[in-house]
Amino acid sequence: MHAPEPTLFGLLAEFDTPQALVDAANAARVKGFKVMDGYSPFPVEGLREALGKPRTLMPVLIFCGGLTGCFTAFVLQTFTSGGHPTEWDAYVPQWFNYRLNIAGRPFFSWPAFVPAMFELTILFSAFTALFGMLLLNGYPRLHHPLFEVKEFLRASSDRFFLCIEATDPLFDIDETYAFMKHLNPISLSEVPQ
Amino acid sequence: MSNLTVRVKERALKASGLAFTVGLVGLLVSISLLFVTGSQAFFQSYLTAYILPSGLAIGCLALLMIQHVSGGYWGYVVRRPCEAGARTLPFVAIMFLPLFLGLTDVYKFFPKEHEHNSPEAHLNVHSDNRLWAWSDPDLEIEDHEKIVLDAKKGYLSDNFFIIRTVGAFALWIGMGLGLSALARVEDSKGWSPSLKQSMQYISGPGIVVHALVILLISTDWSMSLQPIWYSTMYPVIFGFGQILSAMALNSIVFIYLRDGGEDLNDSRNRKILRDLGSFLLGFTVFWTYITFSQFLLIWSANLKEEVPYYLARSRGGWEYLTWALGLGHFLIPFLVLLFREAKRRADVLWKVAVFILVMRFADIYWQIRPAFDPGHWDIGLETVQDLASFTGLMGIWIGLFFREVSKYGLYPENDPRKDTEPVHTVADDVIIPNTAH
Repeated sequence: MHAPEPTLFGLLAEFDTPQALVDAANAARVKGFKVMDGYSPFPVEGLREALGKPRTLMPVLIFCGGLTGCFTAFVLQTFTSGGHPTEWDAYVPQWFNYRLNIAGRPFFSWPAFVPAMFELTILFSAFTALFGMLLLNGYPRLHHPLFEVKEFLRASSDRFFLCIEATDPLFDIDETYAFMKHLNPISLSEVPQ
Repeated sequence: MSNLTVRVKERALKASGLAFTVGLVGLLVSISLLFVTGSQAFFQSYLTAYILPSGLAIGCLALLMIQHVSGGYWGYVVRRPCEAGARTLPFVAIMFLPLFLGLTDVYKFFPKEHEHNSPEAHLNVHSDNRLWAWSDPDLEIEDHEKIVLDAKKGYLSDNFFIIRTVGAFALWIGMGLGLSALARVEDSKGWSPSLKQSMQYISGPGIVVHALVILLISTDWSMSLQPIWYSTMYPVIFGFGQILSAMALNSIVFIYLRDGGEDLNDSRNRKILRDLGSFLLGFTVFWTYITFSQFLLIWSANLKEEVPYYLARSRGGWEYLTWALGLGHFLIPFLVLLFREAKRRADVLWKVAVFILVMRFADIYWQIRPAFDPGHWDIGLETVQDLASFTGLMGIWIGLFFREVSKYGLYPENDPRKDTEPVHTVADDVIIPNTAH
């Protein structure tokens, strides 16, 4: 067993059905591989578990984003429309206590704050969902070694790929190649770094 | 019949028998309390108690019509219980009959002195004789209230009320029994495109008719208890509350009937449960949206005719129920149902659904009861009467419902959706067994 080739990103196997990819990923996980990923044109049921990847963090992030939005709107409105006048008024910026007397209602009119709290909850959740997804997916990134493989173009239309990366502790160019060959892929390519 | 079908039938009949027993006990307690608390408390309780069971039946009909038009696997799942609910509508109509007495001087049947020394009594028009105060010709009201009530006389008249209620039940029963009869044809002769079309010809226009009928019925039964007050959002809250209740009931029935007989944890049932849970989540959020927007609009406008509705519910003990609704009808179910696991697990979902139904009753109690005791929640024998009436009517309705459920099996066997699967595009719905060990 010799050290992995430093010039190699990994080995890429191509499959023509989602089931074949899930089976291959299962076999690879059972074999003990950890640093690997699956690529498919659409979400494949069970692929995440087959790859042994943890569940995505997105729901937690989006929930926190929503809470942040809700809280931001509440605090913003509470502090701008202010409470009762205090002796500190001379020392705070004018926007801070921009008290609006609306038909004599209390300055702290929480029912009126709710629509904005709702809107910012949605807005922040949506932003967290979009940008969190992009960040967790590795964007912004201009290039990926897999793009060097000609066959990989079809990952966005009709082919399913499993890539075992060279950084995996079990990775050994000859043995891993033989193992992946044994999975009966349509094609098996070395991905240069 | 397979073992499973027999088992389901037994379970439904068992639930039906239990509910009938509990209901009869509740009704007996309620009727005996009539001689203690007087007919005023009895009829007020009866109306409060009537809204939820009738709403379950009407909500089942609405869901049934919606799924006939919309399609989707969830409709295949809820069809049988919804048809059963719709078939109880004739009994629901019979249960309404005593309430017609509310248009007569019914409080004098068994009079009892009620101390109306609440300082907030001015928050609603009060009648000493009739359930619906607007129907009382001897009403003691102030001049500005008289102007409003006189202007509403054309709509709020006894005969017109009776015509509307009878007409509403005629339409509901017609649509419910019609759809149920077509389901029997489907059972015996098999599914056909023309049969589906007939169901849709009832359901499509039926949804429109139902929306208009609910507009009238919510105004009559419930909103007119505060005859000066009005809210254009109220019919939506009333009608949508029925649909939410019916969805919660469907979730409970789905889990109860299959529990112990089939694996509620297999991938297909988990998907169905997740659909039902998602409906509950969405419906809960929508309930909050309409309920809060009614409050926000009235709070913002601050008009003399509208504000007393909320004043009557924000003091004298009612404010605790108001906050409890925000917490229990929105925040708790919302936070629990956000978790995918909670929606997919039968042992969690049925508890959430029962909790939602309990909160539905709390919401209805909050809508109806303060109309009789504005700004003053007197917890005493009358509260016991309320709970007894509710147990009675709800128990009897659940009994009728499960008796109907037991008749025609779990699923419409000839529905072509039988051969489809609930569809989810989210990747992690299936758990792959670890093949290594």
